[in-house]
Amino acid sequence: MVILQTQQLEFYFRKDQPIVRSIDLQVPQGSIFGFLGPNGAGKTTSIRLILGLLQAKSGTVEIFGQELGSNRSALFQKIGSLIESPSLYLHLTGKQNLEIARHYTQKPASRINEVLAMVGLEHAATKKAGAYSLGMKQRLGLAMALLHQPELVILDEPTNGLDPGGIIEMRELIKQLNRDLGITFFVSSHLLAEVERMCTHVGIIHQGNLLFQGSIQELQRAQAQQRMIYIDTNNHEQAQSILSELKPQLVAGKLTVPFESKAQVAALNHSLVTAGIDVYELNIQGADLEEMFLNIIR
Amino acid sequence: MLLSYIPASFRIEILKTRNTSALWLTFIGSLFAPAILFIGYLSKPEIGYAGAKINAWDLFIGRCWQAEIAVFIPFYAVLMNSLIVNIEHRSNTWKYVFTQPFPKSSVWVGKILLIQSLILLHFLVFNSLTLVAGGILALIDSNYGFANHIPSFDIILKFIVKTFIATLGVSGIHYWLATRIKNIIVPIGIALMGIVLSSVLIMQQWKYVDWFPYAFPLLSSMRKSNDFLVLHEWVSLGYFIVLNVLGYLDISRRNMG
Repeated sequence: MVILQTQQLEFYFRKDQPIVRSIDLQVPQGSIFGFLGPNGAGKTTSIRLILGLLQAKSGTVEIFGQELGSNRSALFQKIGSLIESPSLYLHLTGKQNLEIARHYTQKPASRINEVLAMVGLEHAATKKAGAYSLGMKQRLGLAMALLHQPELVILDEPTNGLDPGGIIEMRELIKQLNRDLGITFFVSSHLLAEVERMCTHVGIIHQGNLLFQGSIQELQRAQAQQRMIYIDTNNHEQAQSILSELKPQLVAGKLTVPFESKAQVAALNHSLVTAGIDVYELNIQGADLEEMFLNIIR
Repeated sequence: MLLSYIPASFRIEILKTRNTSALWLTFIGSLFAPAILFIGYLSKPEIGYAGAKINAWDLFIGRCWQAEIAVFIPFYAVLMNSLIVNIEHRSNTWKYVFTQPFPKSSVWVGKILLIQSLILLHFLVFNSLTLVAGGILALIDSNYGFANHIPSFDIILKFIVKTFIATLGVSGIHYWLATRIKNIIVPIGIALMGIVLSSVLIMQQWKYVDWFPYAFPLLSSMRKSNDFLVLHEWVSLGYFIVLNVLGYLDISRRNMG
């Protein structure tokens, strides 16, 4: 089931400078959806459109099959969000901030200690949020987003400004909540490696356009298609005729054929060796995910 | 539907005000007029002795109210609107507030209720302190004549209600301004100009002064009438209602965060 869906979502401040162009997002229930794109790609703007903080110029947003609008209150009871820099009352303590969140969502006081434990802030609960480190602020923001046990959590660059330890903790927490409580996450990031490690699905946005959308496996399959096997032999002509089905090309003194799988590499090597050809080198090269990401957004 | 959210919204706004200057201003500011008059009476007792012949309490209370209205109240009302709304700007929390399961209108109304409640609380504290100051003066020097009279509570009540209504116009302007402008200095600058201009306009008996909101508190202390509310007080109420409706329509349609 699709939990969050946008249709031809568009936004601009000036008509000749569109920020989000006709975006069709589909976030499956139970997924961790990575919304990937370089800085300034339109990620935060898209998230604000989804949450109704910006009014779309055209297009629709459906969450749990409903548009915001008259259902705002009911829908926001099921959504938690953390947008850009955390929204915290810096003159109040961590606990007082959560008290505000609790009143907004009408949840019992016991939830405060539960979420504090969840994000590991029990020791700092009575400290003013203004005195928190960036990582702690980020975690308090997450605690506020999780307090009302939402079914969908939207996080905008949640690991921004965190140290490596904090990034790993945040990632593990998201995965754990997704696994144990079935919470769907929509997480924006400009780091491919992070999305690859954490997410089940990915949407790649660049200059306001959604360039790819699918599961991580689909992304990896698409990436595999861009990889090549480089083969160096003592007899390229004979090798070329043996591999003719793969339409080998001669590039810089080596034969190249498209990579499909590791099994294909072994079979290819086997057929060359049994034909009596000496194989000096078999090398898989080409776009890894990082390069492919760069190719997509170039 | 909306009404059911308002008590909770009001409570949340109280939670947000903890440890803020708005709260301090409400209490410390209440000391302003009584303290000035108290010091005045002590340093120049003869200005206080005049009260012995009429009603020492009413004279003292009236003078406290004059200082309060001329110098303190318009700024205080402006500052309360600015400081309370500015909590959201400063904390970067508009986007948080507007993604909560709470109607935007209840957020808007909750803040107004808090601001106006604090202004009323200020009036209560200010008047209590005025009575305390008078009581201490009575103990220090019996020539003031406080012991021979009792304060007219109906006058105090009338002062509170009329001045409160007269500040609503300014609240209407500055509540909306505060949601629009992050900077707290700009609204204060506007208020300063408005207040200075209002004394000029009153002195020159400008014929449209009843429509100039910064002049309303001063007008309320000057205009004598048999009607409980006079023209500028009705205008003040009108401004408050109209500007709040427009301000709400503005914020509910605006791109926030």
